[in-house]
Amino acid sequence: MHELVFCENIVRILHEQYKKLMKKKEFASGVRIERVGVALGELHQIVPESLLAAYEILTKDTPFAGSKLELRIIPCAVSCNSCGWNGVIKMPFFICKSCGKGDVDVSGGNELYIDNIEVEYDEH
Amino acid sequence: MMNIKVYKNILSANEEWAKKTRELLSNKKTLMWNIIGSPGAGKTALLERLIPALDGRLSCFVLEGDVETTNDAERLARLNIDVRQIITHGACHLGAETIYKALSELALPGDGGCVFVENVGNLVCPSEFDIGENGKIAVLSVTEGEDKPLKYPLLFREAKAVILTKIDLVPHLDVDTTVYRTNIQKINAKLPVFEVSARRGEGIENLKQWFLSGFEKY
Repeated sequence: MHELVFCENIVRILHEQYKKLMKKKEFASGVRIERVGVALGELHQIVPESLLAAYEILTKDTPFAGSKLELRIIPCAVSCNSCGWNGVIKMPFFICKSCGKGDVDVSGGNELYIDNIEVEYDEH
Repeated sequence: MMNIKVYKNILSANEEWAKKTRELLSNKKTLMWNIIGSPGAGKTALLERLIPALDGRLSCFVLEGDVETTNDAERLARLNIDVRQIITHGACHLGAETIYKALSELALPGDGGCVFVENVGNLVCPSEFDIGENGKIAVLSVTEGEDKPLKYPLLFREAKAVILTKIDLVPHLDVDTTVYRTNIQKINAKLPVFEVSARRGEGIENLKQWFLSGFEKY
């Protein structure tokens, strides 16, 4: 149910980015954000379908209406403090796949950021 | 078409407020704990037992988050401490901006303050949001089911401690606290687990010592 909050934050960042782009010379004749790439770690309890639905609603009547939100899901990985193994684990078990011990630090799966955007613009 | 690198944390606005809270807490030599658990897990009852036990050693404050009513704040105000009720009107978690503003209104002492934030009853959403706390504390009652840590891994991964409540009910239930512990360990092997009964007071002394030692660790 918190997907809406996450999406509000995505849209807020897009507005900031859009403002910055508008100030650039090469985009003086107009620029459109066509695709937004988001990195989403598996540790976050976010339902992709809900996030995509929220995106469609929240971008309505904005300069990004109709743009595509692309989620890149990053699996949960750990590094083992006992044997040094580092790799992807099967959620929700935070146990080293090599030595079976539980003294592990999360090394992947916490990601939650806008990675990149793809823009279309009129060239002169 | 042009690809532009952004690399911006989606929750950056929340984290700015959390950072301000951390600075405020650090200046006041105060610790803040984010208490997270299901509705009815016994979070308020736990605070009703724990806070009097800590009294005299720490100056306790509570920020009480609820979707509706001031019931919990009224209960805790009977302990003669400063309690602020935050009504979210439907929102499923407390955000860092709300907490910073509420915290700024408290008359925190210059040292030895302890703020408990009782988050909205929910195992999912509050785990996602940093409110500038020193640690998240997972509260899980023995009536909820032994597999709950496995179903809500983020909270048990993020937490600094788990408090297993209502242990006085164990003889009446088909549950085994060792299974709770085993499942918690599968998520977070080093996580301390405290078994308590807020009703009878069992386990409160151990928990009190842990909160007191928090000032050395965090």
